[in-house]
Amino acid sequence: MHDALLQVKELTVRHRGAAKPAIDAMSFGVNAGEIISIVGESGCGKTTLLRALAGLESSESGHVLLGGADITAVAPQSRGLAMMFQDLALFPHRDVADNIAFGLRMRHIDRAERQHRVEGLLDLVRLEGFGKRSISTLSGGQRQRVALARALATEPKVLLLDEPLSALDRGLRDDLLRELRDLFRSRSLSVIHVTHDQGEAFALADRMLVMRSGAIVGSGAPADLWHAPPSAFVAKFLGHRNVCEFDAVRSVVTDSEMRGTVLVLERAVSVVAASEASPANAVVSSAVFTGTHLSLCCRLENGDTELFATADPTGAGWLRPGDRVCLAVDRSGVRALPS
Amino acid sequence: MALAAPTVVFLALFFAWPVVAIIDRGLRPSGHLQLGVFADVLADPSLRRVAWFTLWESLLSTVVCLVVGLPAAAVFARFAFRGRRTLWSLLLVPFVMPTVVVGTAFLTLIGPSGVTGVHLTGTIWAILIAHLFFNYAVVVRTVAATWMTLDNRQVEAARTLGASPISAFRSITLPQLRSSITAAASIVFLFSFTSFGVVLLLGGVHQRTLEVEIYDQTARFLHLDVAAVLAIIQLVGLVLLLVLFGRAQSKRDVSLEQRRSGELLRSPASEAQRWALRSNLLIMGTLLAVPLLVLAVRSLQTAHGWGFDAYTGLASARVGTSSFISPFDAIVNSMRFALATMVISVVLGASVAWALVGRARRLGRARRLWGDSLAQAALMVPLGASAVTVGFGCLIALNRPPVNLRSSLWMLPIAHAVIALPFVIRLLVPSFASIDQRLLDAGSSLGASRLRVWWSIELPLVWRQLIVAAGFAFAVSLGEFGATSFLVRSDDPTLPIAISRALGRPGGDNFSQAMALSVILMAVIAVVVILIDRLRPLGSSEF
Repeated sequence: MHDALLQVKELTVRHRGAAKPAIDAMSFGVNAGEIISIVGESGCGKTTLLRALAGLESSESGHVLLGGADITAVAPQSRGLAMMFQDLALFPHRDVADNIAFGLRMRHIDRAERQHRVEGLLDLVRLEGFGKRSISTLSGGQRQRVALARALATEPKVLLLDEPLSALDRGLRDDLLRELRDLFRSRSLSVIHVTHDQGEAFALADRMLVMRSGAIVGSGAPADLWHAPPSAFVAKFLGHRNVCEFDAVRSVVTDSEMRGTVLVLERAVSVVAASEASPANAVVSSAVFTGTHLSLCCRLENGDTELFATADPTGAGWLRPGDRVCLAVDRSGVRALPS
Repeated sequence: MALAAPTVVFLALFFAWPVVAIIDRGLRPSGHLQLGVFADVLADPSLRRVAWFTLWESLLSTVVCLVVGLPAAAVFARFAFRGRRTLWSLLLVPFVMPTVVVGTAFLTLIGPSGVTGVHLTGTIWAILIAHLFFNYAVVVRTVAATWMTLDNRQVEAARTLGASPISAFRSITLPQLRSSITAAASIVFLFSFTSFGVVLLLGGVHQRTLEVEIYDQTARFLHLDVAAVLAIIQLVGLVLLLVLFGRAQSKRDVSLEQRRSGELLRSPASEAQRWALRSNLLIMGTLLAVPLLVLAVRSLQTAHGWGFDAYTGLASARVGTSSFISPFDAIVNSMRFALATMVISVVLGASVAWALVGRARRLGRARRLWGDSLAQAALMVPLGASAVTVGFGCLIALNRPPVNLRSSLWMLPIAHAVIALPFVIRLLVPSFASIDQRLLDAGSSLGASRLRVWWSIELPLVWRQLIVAAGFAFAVSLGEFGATSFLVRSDDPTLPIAISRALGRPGGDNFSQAMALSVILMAVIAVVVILIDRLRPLGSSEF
């Protein structure tokens, strides 16, 4: 088996004076051309991990290998990695071209070559002609692109992205996300991307790692992880709302028998207005129109359990809070969650 | 702008007119244009030497302050350590220490019979060390205040892009600090250029600045014409400096999003960082605490061991020139003058600050305020003008009708207020301007009258800064020496004048009294400054 491009082995990072390590004996690998998204709540250690990989945080134990070479003790400037920071950390006293060229200058690449490469990068991030502009005149999205171009300029072996889009509003974010993905794919870049937004990870990642308290608690391709989360925590973190005890929903699940905590996929929940043929077993407690569908929350009549479901908002499907409904769950959409 | 009128009149009468009087005196010594004195002064080798000395002495002082102060600024900007907040406040103490106190302290330390045994008074070294003592806080606090707001992630980004720590500092941090370093250097240069008390007490016969020369020409040789010409030369130099200073200032604020100070502070991580912290703290302690401590300790030393002889001796000492004025009268005088100065400068400073901010508000965004920079610069001019210029100008301008204040008790508070006003305005304008206009609009829309809005919204938001400004004015007046030397009535000496008179008389008893009085003055000022600095958030103030 061939080794991963970047290997993290039993890496432990502890902040000065802290009792608990911020990164606790963490191990994973990144293959060449692979995009890894690391997701977790704020404070779970994901930014610390990225900083440790970049060499900005020193580790207590463990190793980081890049292309087989141990870089655990190598200074940040000599690692061959580039990082894009959460609030970008653009150099305000330099213009766009100077920001992008910074890494090239540090590598003593001559002026003509530098200029040539900066032009190419400006084209790549669709900022042609912006070279002489001051950073302060750019919009949020344009700044993001400058930061990206600056990080790409040095042709890093692995690109580290720390919440790269968190400062942008949603529409811009979706556009940039698509652009980033296409760019990374077309250049087969190896990327570690850190975010608290699972949607961003789903859109970008080949593989996702879910972090909690300095350790990995789930990993896999985004779709696999979504459909079969390894724990209730991961399920909830990824955005699943129907995590409950099987006993509480037993009455609405057709022929199935499980134990313990289960995840009920929303698309497996069907809701119809109560009628003679389909007697009521739940009441709509809230209905929110999202633009594409109706998001329903229904309270089961036999207890306190609430299940979320999506309904087609067209025609007779439009339900309102207080409506009595018949709710059913297809058993293919019920997953047992290890406790 | 009606609010600004009293201040404008005040400065016109007590600053602009005296300056005009100096110029008039220098150019027209006997009523008509006569450049002979000018030519004589420019041709006199000893006066040329004084001008030359003033210039290189201030340049050298500036360099020394930067070299010693910048590492300390780094320490404050980047490291968390115990006592950091207190030390930041304490740094201000030397800056506002009266020059006579510092002079006495250094005489105790490195004078002819100083405790170190190293006799440096009369050499450039004594002046350099004293200037470093005074201006250290200017460099540290001005530069650190900017440094704290720089995003350390920019440096980290540079590191991941291939920059070594040194090249990251050179290409990322330094350019963003450049304007604050220039600003600090300009102020240090300004203060060293107009240094009076320190040079008078420590410089001896050969180390003389223009200020000292102006004083001697006036008070000792009674060559008012020569003094006026020297003052003109100095004024021209200062105006040039202020222009350069203003240019450096206008290039500030390049960073995009400023971070809250204190957010990035970390304990020193490596052995080298711990060493840097420790050595800077050691320098700070030695430089700032030792002279003042030695002064305090020596004042308790008597011919036969330890005791309060120097203090009890004050009761029978005489500091008047002709009659029986005791040092305690000098203390009472100083307090009265300081209170009067405080009231004048805060009332005038606050009204003009409100006028400036209000005008900026009416014009639009608060940023426009600095667009009003001409008015602001005009109000700042006395900051650059030396105390000696103010004193000498008032002496020759306000001694005849229509304004004859020569024998008035108000002369000193007025002169002190001229000197304190620029500081007061500098402290108040940013604070007034930082009030969000929307708060005032909200108040009005909830039914409050303009006066009510001012009373219940604006005033509670700025009262701390008003007290800070008042304390500053108080401290400035208490320690003022340069202008006072010209204007003081011989039988109403202030504390600094009493100290300098005691120092001027031979004998151990007199020196003991000078030390005792210096310690009293030092204690009062230290308490005032530490109290007012506690009212301000860390990093909000430069000096």
